[in-house]
Amino acid sequence: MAQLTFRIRRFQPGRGDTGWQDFSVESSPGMTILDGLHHIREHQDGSLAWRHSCRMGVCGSCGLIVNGEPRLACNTQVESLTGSRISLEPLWNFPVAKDLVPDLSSLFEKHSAVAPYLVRDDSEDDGSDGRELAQSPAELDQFLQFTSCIKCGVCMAACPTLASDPDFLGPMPLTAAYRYNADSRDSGFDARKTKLAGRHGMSHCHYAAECSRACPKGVDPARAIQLLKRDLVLDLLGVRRREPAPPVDGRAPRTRDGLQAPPFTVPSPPENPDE
Amino acid sequence: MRETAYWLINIACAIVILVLLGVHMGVMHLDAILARLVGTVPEPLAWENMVNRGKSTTQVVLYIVLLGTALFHGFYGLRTMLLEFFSSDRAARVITAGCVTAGGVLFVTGTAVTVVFALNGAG
Repeated sequence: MAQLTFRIRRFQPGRGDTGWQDFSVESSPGMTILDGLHHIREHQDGSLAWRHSCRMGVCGSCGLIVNGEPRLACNTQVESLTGSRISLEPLWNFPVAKDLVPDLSSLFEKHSAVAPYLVRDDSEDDGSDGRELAQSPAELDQFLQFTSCIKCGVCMAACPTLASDPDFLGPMPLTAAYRYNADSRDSGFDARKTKLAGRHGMSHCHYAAECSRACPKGVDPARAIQLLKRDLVLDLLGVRRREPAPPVDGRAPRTRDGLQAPPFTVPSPPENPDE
Repeated sequence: MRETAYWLINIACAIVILVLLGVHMGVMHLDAILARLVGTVPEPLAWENMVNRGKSTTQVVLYIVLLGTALFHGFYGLRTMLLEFFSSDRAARVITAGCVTAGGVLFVTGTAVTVVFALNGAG
C-alpha cells in the first residue's frame, strides 16, 4: 500500500486562507478521496471540515477541487490519480465557509431565479384534481438527460465565465432552465425568458464546455446552454413552438408529438383505512 | 430579448465574415487556382486591377458589408469581455454606448473612404 500526501488548502472563518497543510495517508484498494478525508479527521486533525452525505455520487455534497479539477470526492478513487501527492481545494467560484466547505448560496439563489419547476398557464391543472399531464417517451427524451443534475456545483467551479463574472447564471441554473423549458408539460418559458436572455444569461456563455467535461453525472450542461440559445433565438424570431401538453381528462389526449396517451384515473382510497 | 438579438446578429456576422473572407482568399490569394477553374483572371495585386475593384459597385458593397460585420463582431466580443469585469448596470450602459459610438465612427469613416475612393479613384 502506497503512502499518499493529501495537500489540503485550509480556510478559517474570519481569518480566510491559512495556507496549505499536508497530511500523510496510507492508500488502500478502492480508497476514495472522501475515505482519505475521513481518515485524516479521525486520526490526524478533527478540525478539518468538508461536506458529504451519501458517499455514492447522488447527493452532490462533496464537490471539491482535486489536483486542479472539480470533482466529487466520493467517486474519485485515489488510484485513478497520478502521483502520490493529492491537492484538495474548496470549489472555485464560491466563497469559502471553512476548509473544503464552499458557500453554495449563490448557486441556489440563481437556481431558484430560473423557476426550476413546472409552470402552467392553466392554474386548474396543478394536479390537485388528480388529472395527469400526459407525456410521450419522445417528449421525455427532450430533457431526460438533464434531470440527472445533482446540483453539486462542480460545473459552476469549472466555468471560466463565472470566474470573471460572478453574476453570470452559470451552467447549472441554465441547464435547469432548459430542462423545464423542454418539458412538454411546462409553459413557463416566458416567465424564465427575462432572466435567461439578460446580460448575465445564456449569451454570456463562451462555450468553453468545461462544465460538460467536469460534470460527474454526464449531464452535458454546455449542450443544454446551446439548446437554450436555439430556443431563445427561435422565440426572438417568433417561430418557437410552445404549447403545453394537455391534461388527461377521462379521455385519451393527444400529446405534443401526436401520440395517444392512455387515460389516467386516481384510485379511490379505501373507505376504512384502519381495516 | 435585446441580448439575444445582439448574440444572434453576432453569429450572423461571423457567418458573413467567413463567406467574405473566403471570397477575399479566392480573389486575392488563390488566383492561380481560380484561373484553372474559370480561365483567365486579372492579376489581383496589379495597381490598375486594384483601382478597378475599388470602383466596382459590387466590390464597394462587399467592402462595406465586411466592414460593418467585422466591426459588430469585434465590438460585441470586446463588450462581452469588458462586461465580465465591469458588470454593474451603469458600467454596462457606458461600455455599450462606448462600443456603439466607436463602432459607428469607424463604420462611417470606413464607408466614406470606400465610397470616396469609388467615386474619385486613387488620384
